[in-house]
Amino acid sequence: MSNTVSTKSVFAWRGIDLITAAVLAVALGVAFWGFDAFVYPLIGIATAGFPPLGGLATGVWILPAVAGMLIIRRPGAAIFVELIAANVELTLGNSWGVTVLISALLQAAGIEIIFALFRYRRFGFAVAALAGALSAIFEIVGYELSAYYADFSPLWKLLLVLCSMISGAFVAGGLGSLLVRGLARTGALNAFAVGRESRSK
Amino acid sequence: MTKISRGGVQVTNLTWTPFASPEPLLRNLSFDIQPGERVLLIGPSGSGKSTLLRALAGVLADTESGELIGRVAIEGAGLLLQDPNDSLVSDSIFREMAFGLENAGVAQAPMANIVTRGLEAVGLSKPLAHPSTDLSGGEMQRMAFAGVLATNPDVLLLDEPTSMLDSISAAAVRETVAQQVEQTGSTLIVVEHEFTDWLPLVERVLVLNSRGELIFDGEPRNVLSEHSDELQNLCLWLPGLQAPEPATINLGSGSGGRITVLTGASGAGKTTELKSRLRADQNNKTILAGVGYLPQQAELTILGNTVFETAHKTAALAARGLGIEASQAESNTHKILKGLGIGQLEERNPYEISGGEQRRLALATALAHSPLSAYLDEPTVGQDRGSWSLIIGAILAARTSGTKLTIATHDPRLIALADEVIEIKPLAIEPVSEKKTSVSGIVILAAPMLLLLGSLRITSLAAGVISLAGLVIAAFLLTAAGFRINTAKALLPGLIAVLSVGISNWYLSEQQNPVTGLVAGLRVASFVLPGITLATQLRPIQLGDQLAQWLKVPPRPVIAAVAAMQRLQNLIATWDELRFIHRIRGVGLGKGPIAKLNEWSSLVFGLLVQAIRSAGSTAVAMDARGFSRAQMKSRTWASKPTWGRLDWLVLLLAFLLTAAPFLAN
Repeated sequence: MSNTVSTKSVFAWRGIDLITAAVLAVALGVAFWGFDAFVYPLIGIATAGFPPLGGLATGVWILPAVAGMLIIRRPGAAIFVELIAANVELTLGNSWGVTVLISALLQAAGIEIIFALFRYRRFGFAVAALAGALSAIFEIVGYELSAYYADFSPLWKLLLVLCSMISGAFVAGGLGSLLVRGLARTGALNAFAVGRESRSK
Repeated sequence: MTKISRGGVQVTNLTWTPFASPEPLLRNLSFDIQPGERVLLIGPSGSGKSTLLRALAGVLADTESGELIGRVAIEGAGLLLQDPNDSLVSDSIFREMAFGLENAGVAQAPMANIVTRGLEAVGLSKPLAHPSTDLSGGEMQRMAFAGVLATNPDVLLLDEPTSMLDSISAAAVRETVAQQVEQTGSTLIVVEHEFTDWLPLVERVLVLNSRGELIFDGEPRNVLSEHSDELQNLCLWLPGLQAPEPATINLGSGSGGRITVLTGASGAGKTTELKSRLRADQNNKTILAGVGYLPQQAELTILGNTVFETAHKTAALAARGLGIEASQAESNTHKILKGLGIGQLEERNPYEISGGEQRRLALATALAHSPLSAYLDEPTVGQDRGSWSLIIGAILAARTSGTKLTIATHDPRLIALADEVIEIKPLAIEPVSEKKTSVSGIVILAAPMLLLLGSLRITSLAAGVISLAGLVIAAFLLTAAGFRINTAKALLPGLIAVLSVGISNWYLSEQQNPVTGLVAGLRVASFVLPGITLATQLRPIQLGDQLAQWLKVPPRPVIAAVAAMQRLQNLIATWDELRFIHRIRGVGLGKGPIAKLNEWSSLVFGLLVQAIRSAGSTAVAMDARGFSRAQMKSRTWASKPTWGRLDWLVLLLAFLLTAAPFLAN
């Protein structure tokens, strides 16, 4: 018998897929909580009174979904990771309460749609950036504009959407890709396709 | 395919080559083990012992993908890992031990009985609801063993089950294993570096060499006596041998060098004591990088892209601070890396070298800047004789050079070299007051969603004020019903968010009307503040029970998510440890936002590497208990979801508050 250990269907998650995705989400939750603790206050104060600029931080919250998808490469990876990361935020305390789960779902949906359009076969920078941008649109247009910024004038609403898209593309898509590649180089992702690719280069 | 009898193992021409590795890790292994046989598996570091056990347990692909050639036939294997922390899936002893039973579809009713008997079998007298993390190392390992036993395995695979334990806890674990094997007649295959104490229990020994080949197979007495020279060359800890000669390393000489050892039972608090001494010392030192630190998780000390960079970072900073010539400092680092046998790896990526090599690199890192004092946490654990001699050589050289060393260890050979030995007595562990579930997870999630719906109708000041008044009344009612609101601090970010929304909706709106801002603020407050208050009560395991059993969410993602959430405290501890290490090493002290962002990214990266690696071990431990094999349709649950009086009350209040703005308009 010769047997190459590999993944069969993109829909069949292995144990390692589920657990790595979940732990990644929790770890990123901790990292963002740490971000709040020593970087964010500066940004927070700078943008508290001016949300369009705060839109530039949107990508940070989308990054886990992108990273999860780039590692696991299965339908649902973004939703799974983003929902758990949101739960961690809840447990550690956040600004928005349980409604972060709505944000999580919307953001992850944007990611899922783009990767599904490419049939879970393309995982490069461009696709990740596109996914990040769509994710930001979903979050802002689908939720924040009505829940938080209903009374903004149209121009300011547009500016908010643009800032968020830029952030989604560069921070979530770009930095997310870089992060996953870096992790792959350490050998920690050897059980995943992205780890194998980084080795065979 | 030939049929294998239960408890038997048949391995035929097994070769395993991970994708990441140019050469096979296991080469053409063939052996048969009869039901009831007790086998010891030994070999030098990196010979593939753990890998072989994982192959036998059928969980090889969990940590690495690769090519598996050959055949493994085995029935009913149960695998116990080195670190019991890796196998935690839940928050109580009961749920932990029931995990394998749940996956096997055992009915709920007899589970408590089975688990109680299992606890008795391993000699653990704790209540079923006791938190699984509130145990000493030895107790936790016995709990993990009981969790493996609960699945009734015919072949017990033990991967270094006692290497992290002190001698008394280790003896207790061995005793438990011996009894179990005696009573059930199950087959035993155990891997252990320090195997002398296992010899009375086993009747056969398999020896792997560093190329992953099976070189000897036979009765322990015969193998050990007939091949003692070859075995010694493999650097194995053979019984009766003297401790190896420390390697000769020269780090110069100075006065005041000293070795203080902190020892004591596993879980007594050696690490805590070591770190508190380190902190006190660090605060007293006025010069940069006066201390060195080797943490238990060596990988956390990695900084930079090469082995040399990692080892030299602090030395370079110190040299600059003290005005020492760069070349002199560098030659010192080269010397210590060479002394520790990793000089040839200087240009390699530090994440790519083996675990044993990383440990020696971390030691080099702790000593390369010639610190006045160094703090080492279990520097010799899990090392073969060869690396032991190198590590001890470096420790002795540091003492000669004038470094004061404080070492937490349970290695008797290292303790014998100390100038001073301090025995750490375990502190009486304060009983953990089990947080009573007050509100169900589902309610915690659903109530604010309802309120969000209601908030859309808060479009006038009147509606906003009514909703605010409603919130205050609800808070009073809940407090009266026993809900503890201790969230003043947790509410702060929420209050800031409300303020931010209010202000921005005022001056970024078309009319710039302050009332618009006020209403917007009240609207957001109506669902954000209760959401935050409720969220502080969230318990993952209990939410998981409700999602999977009531809402029929697929069980595997729920279980994985709950297991990961259980690691939250662990990951926070790792995060703190990373920050601590960076501070000790003098990096990341910059004040500006860019420096802070840099430091943050480097911390995140370290945390993620560690987290993903531990996820691999967790996946192995969970799959070994049937997590991925389980027919999820017939999977059972050890506990029913809970639902109480407060749940009804919170739901009722949420409905009323949601309706209020509709009525107000």
